[in-house]
Amino acid sequence: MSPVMKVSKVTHRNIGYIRQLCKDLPWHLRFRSHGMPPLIYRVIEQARLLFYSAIDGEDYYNLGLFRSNMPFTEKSKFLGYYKHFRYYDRINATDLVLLARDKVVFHMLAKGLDLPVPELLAVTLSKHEPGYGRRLVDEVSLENFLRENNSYDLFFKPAIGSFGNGALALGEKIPGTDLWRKLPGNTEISLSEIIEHVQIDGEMVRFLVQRRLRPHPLFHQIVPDVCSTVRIMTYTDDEAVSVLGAVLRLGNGREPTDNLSGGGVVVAIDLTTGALGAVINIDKGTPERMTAHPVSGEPITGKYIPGWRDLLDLVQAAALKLSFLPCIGWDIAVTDEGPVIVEINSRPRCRSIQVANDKGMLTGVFREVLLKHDGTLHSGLHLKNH
Amino acid sequence: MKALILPLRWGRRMLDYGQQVIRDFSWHRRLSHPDMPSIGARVWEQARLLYHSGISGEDYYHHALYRSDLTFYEKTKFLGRFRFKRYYRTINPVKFDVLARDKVIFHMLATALNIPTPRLLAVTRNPREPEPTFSRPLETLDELRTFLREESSQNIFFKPADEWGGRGALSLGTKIAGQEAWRMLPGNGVVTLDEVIAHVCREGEMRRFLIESRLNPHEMLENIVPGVCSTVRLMTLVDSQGVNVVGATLRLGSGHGPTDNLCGGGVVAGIELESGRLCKVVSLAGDTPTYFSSHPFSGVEVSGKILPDWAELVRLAVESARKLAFLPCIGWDIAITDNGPIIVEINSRPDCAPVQVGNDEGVLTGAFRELLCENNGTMNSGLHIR
Repeated sequence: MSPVMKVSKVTHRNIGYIRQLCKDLPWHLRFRSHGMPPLIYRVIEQARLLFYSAIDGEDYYNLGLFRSNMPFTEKSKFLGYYKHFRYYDRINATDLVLLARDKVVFHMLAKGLDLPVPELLAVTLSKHEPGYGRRLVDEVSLENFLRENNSYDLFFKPAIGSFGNGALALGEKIPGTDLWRKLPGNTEISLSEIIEHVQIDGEMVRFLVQRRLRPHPLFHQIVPDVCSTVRIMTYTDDEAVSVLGAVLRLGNGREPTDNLSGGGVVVAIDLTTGALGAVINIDKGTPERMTAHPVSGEPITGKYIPGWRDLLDLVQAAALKLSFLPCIGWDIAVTDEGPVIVEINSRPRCRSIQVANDKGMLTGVFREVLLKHDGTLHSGLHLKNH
Repeated sequence: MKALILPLRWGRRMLDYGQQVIRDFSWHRRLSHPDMPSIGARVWEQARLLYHSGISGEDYYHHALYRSDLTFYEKTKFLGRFRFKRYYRTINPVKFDVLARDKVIFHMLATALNIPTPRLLAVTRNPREPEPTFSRPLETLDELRTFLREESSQNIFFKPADEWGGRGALSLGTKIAGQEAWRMLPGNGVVTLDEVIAHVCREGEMRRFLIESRLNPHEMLENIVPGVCSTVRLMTLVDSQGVNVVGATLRLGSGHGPTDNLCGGGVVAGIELESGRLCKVVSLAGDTPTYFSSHPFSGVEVSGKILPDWAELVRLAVESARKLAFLPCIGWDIAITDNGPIIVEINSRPDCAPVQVGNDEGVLTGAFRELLCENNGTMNSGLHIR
């Protein structure tokens, strides 16, 4: 890289940091009266963390990094989401990211590799996009599909999407009508509302139509009709799979998915035993610790993930098969028939695992691999100093 | 900003054309012949074709576009390879390219989509380079040796995962009794275990090869070139009307190498799409087409024969094209085996030369021309065919 180019890139990068700090200011202002360190102290600390380990304002408060009883070295072990693609692109080859990001392509890949995934019944699509199984290319084909006898217990998932946005879960069909039970909550949803859901400006959007997974009774009791998942992060190198962390994600009971960003909770998992620890909710912006689900009131802490060993074995075997993506965030549903891989993430957000375990992930093998590109213009991280 | 960038890009593009014309001059000088138009006329005509339809000097002579009995309008129907990525990018989304380019990933997809491909026995790869693998991974020399020493390791085909043009392919026949050696195909030479290992490794590191069961060509094709599985190159284009077959050609190996690529010394024979009848055999050994009615090396008559399983082959390509419609333009390499047609690989940026040379007809007609015309003359496509 020529010196002029380098200077221009460094300048551009630093302008990016400054703009992010300006965007983060509302977070600091929002929390200034909660018995926290002074505003200026928090702004400076977060600015340092932004530079070291990509901690933006949201990460800073969601992860509880404002706490004065936590040393700075501990705080710098937390990995943030600011321009996360920079550091993930150093680990996972960018041209292979499609295999994880496009959920239809991932489904095909998983089928080819014999990995357990939800049953895919059809794909709605309008353009020349990857499809699999039955293709529902227009309203008529979707209507015909939905009117068939076995069109119940369905889960509509956008093919390209994140944080559970756009997901729709249908339960039983109400006999003699074009209505379904919408889950969770058992409200009614009509055929035209479903069609509207999978369209934008009259064009079919690509959705996977899967058979809805039935959660294990333990989780069904905590949050009925939502298939809660375990998020596990792995790093694979030289045929060895390292589990970087794991967390149980439970929905809020109002949405069909369990993502933390949708108002759900996360629960720490003991990697050895599968025992569940503290329940964390970040609806108010900072972590709140509890022992039971905030909506259903069901106690969680102290229970065990059913089939934890099988789940770990599945993830480790699957990580070896997909070792061309060394770092993967796995979403594994614990169903009444065992663990099923719901999806994978090649640029996973580390927030849920870090907040639940109250521990940063920048340790061990993950830190080592990120250190290889530390301080370069590409990685965007500067971990060496801490 | 745009107003500044566009003239800059345009200037660079013109410079690129100029450089190509200079590079191509050696072709014009080398292939001068009294029967051809003057060198000035050829240089000028090829420069126009370069701008119109990407015809480089190599394309100009391979397609015999110097012929004075061909009108300029007819010549503009031939599509060249100059910066072919530009125009293919306007048809096939770049993000999906990896699904065709990486032969291991394609194999996984084909398995999931029930597309018949050769049986994959193992994949060699360097454990330090996390690249996609499938079936049985062979990551060390010992693992490869163990695999090769197994009794079942005969009649196998080594295909590099990322190469093109048939480079690096190795075909092994039966094992020689009492030795760690195989018959090398075609030709029945002998290749030892160490030589196979040396072929797979580069500077002591394992390279990524697919090890497949060798396909047995159909009797008719085996008679023409023994020991080489000749393939049909068929180009399809999916548009709103459905799947269009752009053209097809039979590629026959020279009999000296394990593949049938035109650039590897093979010959092609055009195919009548309706009937599967073979046209003249064309060789590019002298860089301009030479026509035969029989295979130039084996002497077996080719022209006029009907390809076996032709209707089945077209049906397979059309059905598979629908399944992979997210790559609208695909060049299919389909082997006609004793068990029917099998898809050997696909190309998302297929070289049109085999189809054009074999049929002595440009592919820039019908739906393919229409689609390319949509981006005609823009900076992106690099074509000016209108």
